[in-house]
Parts: sequence; C-alpha cells; structure tokens
Amino acid sequence: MKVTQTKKDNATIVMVEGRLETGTAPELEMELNKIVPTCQNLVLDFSKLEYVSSAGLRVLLTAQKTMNARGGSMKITNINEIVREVFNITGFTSILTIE
Amino acid sequence: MGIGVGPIFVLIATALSPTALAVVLHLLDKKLPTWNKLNYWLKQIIIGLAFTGVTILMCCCGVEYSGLDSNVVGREIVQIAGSFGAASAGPMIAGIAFGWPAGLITGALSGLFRGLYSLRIATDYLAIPECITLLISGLVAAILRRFLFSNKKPKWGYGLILGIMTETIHMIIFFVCGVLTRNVTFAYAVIRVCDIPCAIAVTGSIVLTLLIISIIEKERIGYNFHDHTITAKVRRWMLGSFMMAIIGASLLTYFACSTQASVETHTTLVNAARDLTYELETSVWGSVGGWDIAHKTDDPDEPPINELAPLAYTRRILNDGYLAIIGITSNYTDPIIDADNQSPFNVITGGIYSTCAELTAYLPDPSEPYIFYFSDEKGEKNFPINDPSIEEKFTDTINIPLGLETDQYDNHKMTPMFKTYLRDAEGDHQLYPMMVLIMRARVTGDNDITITQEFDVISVLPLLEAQTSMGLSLRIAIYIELLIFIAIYTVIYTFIKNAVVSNIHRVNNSLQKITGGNLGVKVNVRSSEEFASLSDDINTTVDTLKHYIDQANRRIDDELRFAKEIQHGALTNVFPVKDNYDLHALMSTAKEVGGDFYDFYPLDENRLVISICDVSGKGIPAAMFMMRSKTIIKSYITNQDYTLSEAITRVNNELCANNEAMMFVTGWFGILHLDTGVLEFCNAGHNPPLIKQNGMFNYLKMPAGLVLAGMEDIPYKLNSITLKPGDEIFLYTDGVTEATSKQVKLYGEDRLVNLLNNAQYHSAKGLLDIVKQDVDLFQADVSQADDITMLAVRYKPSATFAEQKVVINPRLDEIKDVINFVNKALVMAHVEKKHIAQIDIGLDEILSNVVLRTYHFENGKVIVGFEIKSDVCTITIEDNGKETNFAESINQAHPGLALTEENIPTIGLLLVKKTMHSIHYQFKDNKNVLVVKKHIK
Repeated sequence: MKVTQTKKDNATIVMVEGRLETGTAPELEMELNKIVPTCQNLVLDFSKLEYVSSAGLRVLLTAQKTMNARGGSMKITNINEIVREVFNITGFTSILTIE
Repeated sequence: MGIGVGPIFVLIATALSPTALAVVLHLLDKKLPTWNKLNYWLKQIIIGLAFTGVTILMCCCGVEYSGLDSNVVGREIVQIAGSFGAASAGPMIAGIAFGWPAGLITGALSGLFRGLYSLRIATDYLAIPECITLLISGLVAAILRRFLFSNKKPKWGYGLILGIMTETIHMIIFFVCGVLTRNVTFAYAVIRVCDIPCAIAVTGSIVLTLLIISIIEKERIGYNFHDHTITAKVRRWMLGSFMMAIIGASLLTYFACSTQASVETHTTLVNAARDLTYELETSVWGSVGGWDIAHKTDDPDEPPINELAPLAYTRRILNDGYLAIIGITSNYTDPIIDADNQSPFNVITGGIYSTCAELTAYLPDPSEPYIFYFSDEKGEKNFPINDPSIEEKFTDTINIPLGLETDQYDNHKMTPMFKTYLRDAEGDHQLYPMMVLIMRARVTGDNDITITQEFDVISVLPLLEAQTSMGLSLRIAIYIELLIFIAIYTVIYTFIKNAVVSNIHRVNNSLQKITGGNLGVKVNVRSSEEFASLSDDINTTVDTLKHYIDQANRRIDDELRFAKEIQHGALTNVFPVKDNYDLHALMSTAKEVGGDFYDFYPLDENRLVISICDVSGKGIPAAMFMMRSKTIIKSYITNQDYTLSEAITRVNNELCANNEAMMFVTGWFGILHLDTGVLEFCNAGHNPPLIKQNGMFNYLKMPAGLVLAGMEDIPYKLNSITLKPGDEIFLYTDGVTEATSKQVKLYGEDRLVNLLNNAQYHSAKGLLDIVKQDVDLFQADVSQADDITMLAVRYKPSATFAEQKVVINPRLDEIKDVINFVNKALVMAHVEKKHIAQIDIGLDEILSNVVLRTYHFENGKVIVGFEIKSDVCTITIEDNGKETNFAESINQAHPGLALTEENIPTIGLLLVKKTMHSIHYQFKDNKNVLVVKKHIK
C-alpha cells in the first residue's frame, strides 16, 4: 500500500493505493493521525485502492469520528465496485461521506 | 695354363647341369599344381634324388678322364677335378635353393656313390677328397639354409660366397688328403691347375641358379646400395674389410714366399753349379778327387768310361733335378757308366741337342761339340736320344730358366739375344736371376776329352718344383683366410642379426604400439644387459610420460569442470512463478563443455523474451563463444530501440566481426506478449520449436535465417503467431533430436512430437522432465554426445492446479504473505479481479481473527491450503490454537451492528459471510480446520 498526501483549495487529499487490510491498515492510521488533528477538509482518494477489509474500516471509522468531533469534513472519493460493496454490506455508507 | 677348348666345354656343360635342373624343378613348383600340392618331405626327397642323379652324371664326366696314374698332371686334371669340383655345386644348390633335407640327401647319396665308384679304378686318387667334399657341401648347404637364411632362398649375391667357400673346402680337403697319402706334389699339381676353373664353375653354377630363380620370381636383382639397415652396413663393411685383408695377406704371403723361394733356389743352384764346377776343376787339374781328365786322356788305354767315372758324382746333383750342360768333344760316343755299370745319362754326340730351341740358339757356339747330360726331375729316367717324345716331355717338365746369376757369369760371354730371352720370359724381372745359374764349361779336344778352364755350367731347376713350396704356402694361406673370413662373416652376421637387429625390431614393435597410443605396452627385451637396460629406460620414460599426461589431463579436466560451472552459472536457473506464464528450462551437459544456452527475461511487464542457442563445436572455445554471444544477444534484444529482427541482425554483425575462429551460433529468439498472446520470433538457423495450439504440439516450421556469425549483413525475418491461454512453446537444441542410441539411431523429430502429444504433465517442468527421461532412456548405455537443452513456456496456464500450501507464523504481518501467494495463483488461474479481491478480503478477515482471537502467539503455525477445481476455489485454514468455532461466529454475524471499534471484528466476519459461498468448521486432530469455498465463475 502507498499513501500520498497533497493539498488543494484548503483540502488535504490523501491518495491510497493498493490494498487496505490487516497488514497495511496501521500505516494509513499513522498517516491519518498526523493529518486529522490539523486538517479541516480531508479527502480520501480511493481511485487506486483495490479493496478494503475490516481493519481498514476501523481506521476509516476512527478518522471519521475524530473529524466529526473537530467539526471538520471528511470525504471519500472514487471508490471502486468492491470497496463500495464492502461499505454497503457493513453499513459504512451511512456514516461516511462518499462521492 | 694350356687348357684346350674341349675340357672347358665339358666343364661348362657339367657346371650348368645342376642349374638347368634347378630351373626345371622351380618351374614345376610354380606351374604344376599337382607337384605343388605334394607333401613337403616327399618333394624334398624327390628333389634330393634328382640332384643326386645330376651330381653323379657330373662325377662321371670327370671320371671319364680318370684312370690315369698319379703322374697325370695337365689338361686332363682340369677336367677331372673341374667336373668333380663343379659336381659339389649339386648338393649346394639342392640345399640352398630348395631345402635343407634335399641338400643333405644329395650330399650323402652322391658322396656315397663317388666313394663306391672309386673302387672301380685303383688309381683314382681324387675319390676320397671328392667324396668328402660332396658330403660336406651337402651338410654345409643344409646348415646355412636352415640357420643363416631362415629356411629361405638367399639372394644370388650369396652364391659368390657359397661357391668360393665350397671350392675352398674342396681344395683344402684335397691338400689334406695329399699330405696324408704323402703325395703332396701331385696334390699341388692338381690344385695349381684346377682351383680357379673349379671355383669359377661352382660359383657360376650357384650364382646362375639363384639368379635365374630370382628372375622367374621377379625379385629385385640389383644390389640395394640405399639399404641403410644395420645388417646391410655390416655386410658391406665386413665384405670390404675382409676383401682388403685377404688381398693384403695374400700379397704379403706371395712376396714373402717368393722371396724365400728365390733365395733358396738361388742358393741351391749356386751350390749345385759350384759343386759341379769344383768337380770339373778338381777332375781337370786333379787337385781334388781321384780323377784328372787331362791325365786320363793322356793314357789311351784307359777306357773313357772309367776316366769319366768321377762325373758320376755329379749325378747326385743331377738327381736333385738339375741339368748340367757340359761342353765335350763331339766324337765321344761311349755311354757314361756309373759304378753299377748303368748309364745314368744320355750322351748325345755329334752336336748340340737342346730341349729348348730358343736355348739352343743362344748357346755360345752351336758348331762346337757339346754333350747334353740331362735327366728328368727325379733323375731316374733316361730318355733315349731317339725317343721322339723327349722334346715334349722336357717341354712339360723342365721350364725355361727364369733368371741369370749375373755375378757368376761373364756378361760379355752372354749374347744379347740370350739376355733378351731371359727378360722376356719373366717380363721386367731381368734381375730375377736366382733360379738358374749358367756357367760354361768348354771342353775341347778331338778324340780325347779335353776340358779347358772355360766352361759353362748351367744349373736348371724346373719352375714347378722351384715354386712348389711357395705356391703351396700361398694357396693354403689364401684358402684358410677365405674359410676364416666366411666363418667370421657368418658368425658376426648371424650374431648381429639375432642379438642386435632382431632385438631392435622387438623394441621397435613395442615402441610402435606405444606411439600408436597404447601407453600400457611394456618393452621387455632381456636377451642382453644393454637391451634390458634400454627396455627399462624406455619403460621408465613412458611411465613418467604417462604420469605427466595424467596430470595434464587432470588439470584440463579441472579447467573444463570450472568452465562448465561458470557456463551453468551464466544461465538463469531460478524460474519465477508468474501469473501469466509458467516457464522452465533445463540443460544437461555432455562430458565435454558445449556451447548450448537458453535465456529468458522480461522486457517489461507484458513482454517476455525466450531464447535458445547452440554454438558450433565443443570445449573451451565453444563455451567462450557462448558467453560472448549470450551477452551480445541480451544487450541488443533489451535495447528498446530495435525490433527483434533488427536486434538479431546487429547481433549477427557483431558476432561476425573478429570471428577468427570461424565459429557460429544457431539460435531461436522469441518475444511473448503476455497480454495479447502474440509471439514474435526470429530463427537464426535453429531447430524449429514445437508449439502447442488447440491441444496439439506441432513444429513451427517457417523458413529460418542463416546462422549467426556466419555472414555479415544478413537480414533476419520477424515472424509472429498468436497464442491462446493454455498454449505452449517448447524450445530445444539438436542434443535432443540427435541423441544417438546404442544401435546408432537418432532420436528424431517424430519421436519428440509424439512424446509431447501423449505426455501427461501439469507444468513446464513436468514436460521437460518427461522429455529428458525419454531421451535418457533412448541413449541408455551410450555416453551423451551433446548437450541437451530445452525450454518450455505455458502461456496463461489453465486453472487446474495441484493443491498448494503455505505455512506462516501466527503474526499479523505475515498475513500478507498468504494473500500474495493465493493472489498469484488466482491471477494465473485467470480468476476475475472482483473474485480475487473478495477472496483476499475473506482471507484477511479470517486470518486476522485467527491470529488475534484464537491464537497463542507462541509455538503456533497456521497452514493455509489452496485449491482451484472446476470453478470452485477452496481455502483450508488450519491452526493449532484453542478450539474456536469460526463457522458459528461467522454465521452469527449480522448486518446492522453499531459501527464501533469493538464491533469491527464481527463486521469483518460479516464480510466473510457475505462474500464466501460456504464455510465449514471442524476440530480435528487438535486443530481448528476451517474450509471456505467460493465460486469463481
């Protein structure tokens, strides 16, 4: 998995490539822990994400909660069919902002 | 010598008869099969008898003139002895030219006959020596044939030696017999006259026989002066040096003997003449003896006979063979009577009578009355004056005087003519005066004998007698020298042949075997110390050489092994498991380093290069050329600027440059587009590869380009085919198709393609193993002659895989290894991306659960089994942790859970439940076993 960070119009765009699973989730978590406390608009670009497992979901959940508490916004963009299906099955579509 | 034409003719005719018989017998042997098929011994007996017959005939020719008494010396002797002498050629020819038994038979029978024949004639003095000579010549012929000539007919040149030897033996035997019978004079007389004609007859007969047989057999006649063998050299040098020695020794003996003979003769003649002179003087002056001629003549009553009685004293001298010529009155007619009242001399009256016309002419005064007193050489015979044969007898018996004692003879009294005669008789030897002393006694008076002081006494010695001792010594010396020479020659020649030359040949034979490559041969000639030492030295040298060769071989072997290892090291032997192809290659090298190689490498994610090449030749050069080619080929193919065919063209040009060794490479190069299945390829003179399409292997026979490094600027055509998933490529070198069986049959393309089409295998490696096994079986018991190199690729292998397993430690960071492993297999099986992702997610959830919830972190193992079979992917997960029923946990997971961190694991199980088709759990052998299945089509 590869995580890259760019800034655009007050928003921090985090690009996640590869698979988000047990082995890779801690890495994303570390990145987000650095970004989230200072960031107002967080965009997660999942265009190059192959799939996400529950470990990944936990990272997303934590991030969403922190952003909510800080009054910031977090958006997830460009998800593929597999990721969308996971979100649907687990009900994460209800708590995440997916574009 | 006085030999007439008749005897010579008889001699030649008799000498030629054994030659004629030999030629006839030889032709019989050659042309008449029935004769040729006869038993060897029977033939030898017949030949022996035939030669005995001829020899006896020859003897008879000689005997024809026999029957004479021992005094016969002269031309008859030539015939007698000559024919007998020639007769000894019979046994010699039979033995030498036909076989030792024939020689023995002829010698024995003819000798026996000769011995018996002599009984018929009592005076046959020649019988015993002839008999012995025949026996010996047969024996010598047999021995020489058997031992010196290795039972083969010798070259004609040997005839010379054999003939001379035979006749020498003959003459020596003759002489020995003469000595034993106290008849040396006769023996010498015979030898003197007939040795040369006999030797010529016998030698000519033998040489001619051998020569004619050689001509019939078309053998080489001339002497080979270019023969540089040891035996030839020894022969030449010995012959030369012995000839010189014989000639030298003969000359020395001749001069010594003749000088001695001259001195002795001179002394004898001088003494004889002096005695006679003394007698005459003392008689005339009455100073010595009881007879005074002058006084007696004064007394007419005294009968002249008595007055002359003292002259009888001279008979003693005359008895020794000297002739006294005393001048005496012409009318003295009474015979001189000695004490026994016998007249020892003929008294010739009425003039001079000379046995020699020439001498008569040169006597001081022919008109003066002379009386000749003469005797035969023994002094016992009187020749009556009127005997008509007297002249002849004397001519034969008494020779012309050879010289003149000048200091005893007044030169002025000798007529110039007489001097001339003496000179002529002995050529330039005017000063060879020893033989004859001429003194003159001139006795004058009418009826009475009046002897003046002037008288000439001529003392004459027959030449034959004067020369007997000298001639005999000379001849015996020469005969003995000849025999010694022949004996030494034979001994040395035989010795050198047997002890040196034959051993050299034996050593040479062994050496030939050694140089022929068999270093195990030992030289073992131990007949003499020198050869034993030579043999040992050669053996030691060969052993040392062998040691060094072994060492060198070992070093070369080591180097070849290293070369082989380096060569192998240059080939990739790690075969990656890829999603879209399954590749394997194999190279089985022959004993020697070869020049085969394969190569494969990705150009990029989608393109795979595969190649196989074969460098001409073997050994280090091929290996080095292979390394060079491999590097150049890879560098050009990986250069993105060139198409494959361009790359190969450039490779060819570069390999052509500096290719002094004139090596070349055949190669097949392909680029497989993994996404589309397009296979681009170039063939540079290599065997056509086998391509499996629609389940069948076929040779990809398209016109190939020229071999690489053959010729510059050759274009290589780029071809392409398109493969479908499951299609395969099989590359190989001629080591496969040209593998040779024990029955010298080639493995061949047909057998290869049939094998591939009937083979059961699941991977590229499996395919190569099958081919290798079959080739090994084919060339069983035969050492592999060439490298066997193969490469197989399966494009997008079909989804049937044997069960695969992966084992990990129960750690979260190892979960991704399982996922990667399964993922790869799924990609290779062409499973849809969505399904792959779902399986990945399921595995991640299950394994993270296993690790986090049920597993002790120590001592554990998690085994993940994976199998795809007919659209169903089965994953089996085993662990040796606490018994936990995952299936139940999964089944209990329901949607609608509060989205909190605590619920995340359950949410994960929910994902498993939703994406997998069936989940089974059991606790078995203290293991949690979870079987998850998913349909993938």
